[in-house]
Amino acid sequence: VLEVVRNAWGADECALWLQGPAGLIRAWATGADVTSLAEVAERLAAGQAAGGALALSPLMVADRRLGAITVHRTLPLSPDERLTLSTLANMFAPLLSHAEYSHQLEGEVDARAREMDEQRRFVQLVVDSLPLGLYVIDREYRIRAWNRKRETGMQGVSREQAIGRTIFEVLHRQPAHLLRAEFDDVFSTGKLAQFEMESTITGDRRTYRISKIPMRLDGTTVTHVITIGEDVTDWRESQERFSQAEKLAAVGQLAAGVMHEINNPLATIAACAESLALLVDPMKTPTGRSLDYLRLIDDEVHRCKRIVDTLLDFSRPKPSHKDPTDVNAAIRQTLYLLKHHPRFKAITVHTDLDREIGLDVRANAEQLVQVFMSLLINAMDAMGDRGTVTIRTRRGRSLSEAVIAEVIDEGHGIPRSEVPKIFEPFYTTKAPGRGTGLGLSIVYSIVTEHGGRVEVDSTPGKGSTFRILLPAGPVA
Amino acid sequence: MTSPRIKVLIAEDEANLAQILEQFLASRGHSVTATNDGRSALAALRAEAFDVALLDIVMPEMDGLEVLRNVRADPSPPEVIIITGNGTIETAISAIRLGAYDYLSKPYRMAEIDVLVRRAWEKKQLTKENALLNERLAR
Repeated sequence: VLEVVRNAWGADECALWLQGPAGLIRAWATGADVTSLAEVAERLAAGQAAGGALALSPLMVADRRLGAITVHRTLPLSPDERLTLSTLANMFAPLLSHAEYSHQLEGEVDARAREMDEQRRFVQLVVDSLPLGLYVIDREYRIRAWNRKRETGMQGVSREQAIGRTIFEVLHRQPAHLLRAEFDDVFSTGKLAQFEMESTITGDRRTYRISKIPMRLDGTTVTHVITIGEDVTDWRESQERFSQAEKLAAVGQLAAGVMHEINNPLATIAACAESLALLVDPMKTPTGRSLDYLRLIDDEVHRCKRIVDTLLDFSRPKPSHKDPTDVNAAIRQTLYLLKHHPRFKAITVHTDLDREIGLDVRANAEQLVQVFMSLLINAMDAMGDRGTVTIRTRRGRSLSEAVIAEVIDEGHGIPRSEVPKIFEPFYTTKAPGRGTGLGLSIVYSIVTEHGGRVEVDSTPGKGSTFRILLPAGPVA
Repeated sequence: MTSPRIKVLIAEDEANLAQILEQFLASRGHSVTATNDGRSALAALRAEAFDVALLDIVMPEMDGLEVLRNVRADPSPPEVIIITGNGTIETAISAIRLGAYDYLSKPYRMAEIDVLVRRAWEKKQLTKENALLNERLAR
């Protein structure tokens, strides 16, 4: 259009000036480049439409000035020509305004889309970085989100394979009706559901805490359910160990209190028996029996005393004197002591001792012998005096687990439900008179006092492994 | 050799046990006084001279170790045998450190106590004789 105007009017130059964010710019021009930016800006500011060789018409939309059209001709424009120019400017202005607006809009949409994309990626990264398995289903039980943790591992299913399918198709190992009931519960109550479940899918037994969280897109009805699965095995184990330690300490304290009171009546009973024995005349016939009975009382009283002493040892383990000790040597000494035991001869003992182990731990050798003695006697009892018991040692990977010793039997094993109880004093499955139920309590107490740990793996019917983990101990 | 008539004090809060022990030691020819708490034991020890004192640790009013602490600085203290209901090595050690002659844990055999009482008495005799000899040498 400007080209046509310049030719028609015989002008030197026709130009379009636009008001940009950075000030006035010469957007388009035709003819000689004779009009300066400063000149136009000055004229615009002064509101001077014409003057000399330069004619100018501002481009206005409402009160906003978008720019100007200028015509430069040595002969000034006639009033008619000026009118034409301003008409032209009035026609141009809305067009320009519209173009400017849509251009702006386009840029904004672009920026917004980029921003949203970035935000989406950020949220995705957050969800993927969580050490939790997370997925979201909608009311049709179709998977809407599936995080990285759910893609990896033994049970991993890729996001592409999961999104859009129903949860029952993807988690086909789980009974669909139970899974559906879990989700329906959250959909109908709108309440968070949490529970723990155990799984052996990865090989060993893991505990997971599952949370099903209601999600409301519109803020009122539950539209989705977020499911989070967290592996809490280690946490649970350490909690169990802690509560077990607390329980044992409490039991020990209680027992110590009771036992202390028991020694007094025992002393009286023993003293009575002793006095009675002095009154019995050994020359009279029925007295032989009486003396036997009195001796029996005395024997039993002293057996009680031994139990009490052992229990007191458990509840208040004496801080023992510890030296750099060879665990292998302690095991050899235990085996030497047991060698002549008739029951011990009946079983096969297999030793697999790591020769690298030297004076790796600071320990009380006598107490270690007591620990291995208890474990070996238990192994014999569990196996009914036949089979193989394996004693194995190896170096651990850290100072807190410097040496690991295992006593592995082929006995009847321990039902899982019983495992937490085996360290409690007086817990025993042995026939009356065969054990006091204090052996493992003492083992626990000694190992704990050494700063170590006792672990048990057991399969009923197959056997048990007792694992002692001893720390290197404080440096002398 | 006739056995010596040893003056023994028993401090035992278990009344039945105190009574049986008293009768037993009396039947062995000792002169026995029984008390049932630490305070009366200390009072008895201050009132007359005893050769040997059998002190239970856990007693009302004043425990056996406290009685021992009180009498050991006396001019002619008895030999003390500490008796305890909870056989921990710690109490035994502290008893011996406080100057006890020996230590026994419940339940015990009274025959053992008789032997200990006699040995404690012999030690006391020796201590007495030593003191006498020392005195003579010093003169």
